[in-house]
Amino acid sequence: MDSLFQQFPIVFQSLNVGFLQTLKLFAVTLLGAIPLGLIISFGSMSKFKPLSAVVRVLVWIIRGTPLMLQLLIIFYFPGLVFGKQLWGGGETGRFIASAVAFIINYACYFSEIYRGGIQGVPHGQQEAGQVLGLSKSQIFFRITLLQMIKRIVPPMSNEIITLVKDTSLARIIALQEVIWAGQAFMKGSQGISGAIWPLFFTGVYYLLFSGVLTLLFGWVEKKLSYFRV
Amino acid sequence: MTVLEVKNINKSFGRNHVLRGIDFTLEKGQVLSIIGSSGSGKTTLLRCLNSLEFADEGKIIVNGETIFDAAVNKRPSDSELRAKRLHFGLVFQNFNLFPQYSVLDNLTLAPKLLDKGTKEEIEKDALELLDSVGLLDKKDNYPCELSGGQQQRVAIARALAMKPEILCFDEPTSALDPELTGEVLKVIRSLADKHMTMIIVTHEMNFAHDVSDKIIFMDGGVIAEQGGPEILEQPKSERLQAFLTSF
Repeated sequence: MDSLFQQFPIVFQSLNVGFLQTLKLFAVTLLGAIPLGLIISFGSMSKFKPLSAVVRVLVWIIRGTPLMLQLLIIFYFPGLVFGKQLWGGGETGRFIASAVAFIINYACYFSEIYRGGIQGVPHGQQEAGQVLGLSKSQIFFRITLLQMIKRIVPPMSNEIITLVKDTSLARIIALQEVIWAGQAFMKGSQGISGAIWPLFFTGVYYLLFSGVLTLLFGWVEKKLSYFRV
Repeated sequence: MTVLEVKNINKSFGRNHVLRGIDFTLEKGQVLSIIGSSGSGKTTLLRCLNSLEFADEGKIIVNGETIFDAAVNKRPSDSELRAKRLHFGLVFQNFNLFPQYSVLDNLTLAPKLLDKGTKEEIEKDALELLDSVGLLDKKDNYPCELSGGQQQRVAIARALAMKPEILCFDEPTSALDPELTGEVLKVIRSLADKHMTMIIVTHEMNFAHDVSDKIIFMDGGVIAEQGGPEILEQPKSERLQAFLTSF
């Protein structure tokens, strides 16, 4: 099959399937990492020193080593060391292992952003709430939270757009995401081989998706621009 | 009628002994100004009154009720603390308005959350307060759209919305450009005319002289001199004399 017009529908369908896996990993990572990051940030700010020390070392290790290495370790370690396939075989197992690695990695990055956001709200805001007789939870939910969210939207959007592209790292444990799908046509798949353009074409998916996210975050920032912190 | 009695307040931060045995009383409807150089403990004293800090020694009595006693070891619960704080209002040096709320919502947030009346009553009160500080037309603006002087007037109205018995000011004009201090001082003066009980930490000597019933001069964590406004004209202590010549 030599004609691009003949190749396109086959490639397009295959890349869509791959991109769906990319999207799934993206969504699951966010769903897990956003709340886990909050827990980690509270841990790192804890007044109980041993806890904050342990959490900070964990964050240092995760942020200080490549995500690709973490993926490999999380995927292969249980099988090689304990002789047990913790993740199960096949695509599902690879997906779960990828999701675990991504959630831990991104939660650590998010936790530092949250910490900056929480500590960035001036202490005077809390004191103003206290002298008006508000409770701690009223102060957090009615005063501090939105100011914190406004502060963290730009760095979070940065991380989340990075996540879109980082999902391709799961290729290293053969997760069948969009780059894997594109690369298949170089080696040969569905009667197409030696074609490089499908791999290049995967870039369009990333561009469109990060474009949508950029617009979305721009909209959120605009929504919160009515006040200054 | 004595509304506030402060007895032998001592407070240290680490090895820094900031307040060394502060005693004074305040009558209902009186205005007390606290003057003194930076680091003399004025702000710490206000923060102790508002339960933002806790003294190591001493008692605070409001209307005969002991709201703080360092000799009682038990830490007050969050809800007890909140009830005690409501005797006082505090206007901060740098306003601390809530940036995400409109001017009106800044005033009504706490009364609504603490069920201080129906929504209509609370809003009616808030609008009257805004009118009294001359900012009724700004009710829908956000703090970032106001000048410093306007923000401070909103902050005063916000503190008044909780109907405190004693309103405290922590250097209310120190963060303002000189041309904006006048509008804030005018509001405080009008409150004095309505016999609001107030404690004002200030560096505005002329204002303190004109508006106060009582003046406390603090130096090195002690009350070095206190009396009526006349002590600013004829200071008895050398330290107050030296302090006043610096203005």
